[in-house]
Amino acid sequence: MKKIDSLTDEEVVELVRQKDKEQYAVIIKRYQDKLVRYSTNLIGDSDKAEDCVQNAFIKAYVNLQGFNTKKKFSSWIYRIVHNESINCIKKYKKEISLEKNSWVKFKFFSKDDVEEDFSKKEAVEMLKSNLKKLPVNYRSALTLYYLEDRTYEEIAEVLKAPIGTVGTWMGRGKKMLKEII
Amino acid sequence: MTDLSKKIMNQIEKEHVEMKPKIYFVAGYALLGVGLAGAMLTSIMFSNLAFHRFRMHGVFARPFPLIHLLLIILFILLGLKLLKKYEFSHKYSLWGLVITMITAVVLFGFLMDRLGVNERLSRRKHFERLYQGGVKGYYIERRPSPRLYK
Repeated sequence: MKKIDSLTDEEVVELVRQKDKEQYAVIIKRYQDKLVRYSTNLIGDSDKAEDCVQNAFIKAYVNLQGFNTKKKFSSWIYRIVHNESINCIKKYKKEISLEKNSWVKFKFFSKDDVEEDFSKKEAVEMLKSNLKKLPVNYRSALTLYYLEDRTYEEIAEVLKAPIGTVGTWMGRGKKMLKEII
Repeated sequence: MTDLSKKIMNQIEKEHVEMKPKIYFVAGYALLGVGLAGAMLTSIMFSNLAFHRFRMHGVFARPFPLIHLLLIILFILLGLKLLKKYEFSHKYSLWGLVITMITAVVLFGFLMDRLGVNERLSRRKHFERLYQGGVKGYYIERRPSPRLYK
């Protein structure tokens, strides 16, 4: 029998579903740090983020039989944490609405090529210090791309949006960051 | 950072948290499929009836099939709500899905009418009321499909 550490996430999930529920702890340990970090970046509060992630893992456990092992577990669990974080944001009303930032509207039509102005390292630094100022969709997309190293396809899976929309959110989020600086 | 694994596993044990059985999800998807198919078929049927009315009485049919059109919109919206629950639906834009559903309903409704489906259905006992009245002011002449006269 393969060692548990060498099993993929999907194989561990199958093991939890069929035989050994205690192995769910393996999944938690693999993802807890990343998910708490992601949730903290969304919510802006690490204590609340831990509660969100805890609730998300419980929900994931309850719905584990509904997970399709042919898909990526990481996208699935990130999706659940994303939803829990959004619920937490709504509960504590920490979301910054795009509509409230009217100064942003006329900045979107700048002809500057944002990609040329950003290296990934610069984007990571800017993100970390200015995350809270971004609307939640842009915050999520940029966090997942720059801080969690997710591909556009994975981000689309997590945020349940078309890839084109993810690209739009990324572009607008970067423009907003540029204006903030 | 706190080790959440112990906290979560203790919570699962203490609160006797159970996984939902697989049949729950299988049945859920099956019902979703049935609901979606039902919503689409119903809206296509009403689209077909609307086209039939327009063919019999022209675009300014009296009474205007407003109820048909409202029910078409209602069932398209229901179908869309059910379709969004599928994993694959997020890959497509909302407006793309709306346009596709409306196009499908209009196209199939039109084809059903042109292929003489209404004439065949109007002769069946269960569908007579739909075509021959039962509601005051809703009587429709029974004219055979134009295809028969070509």
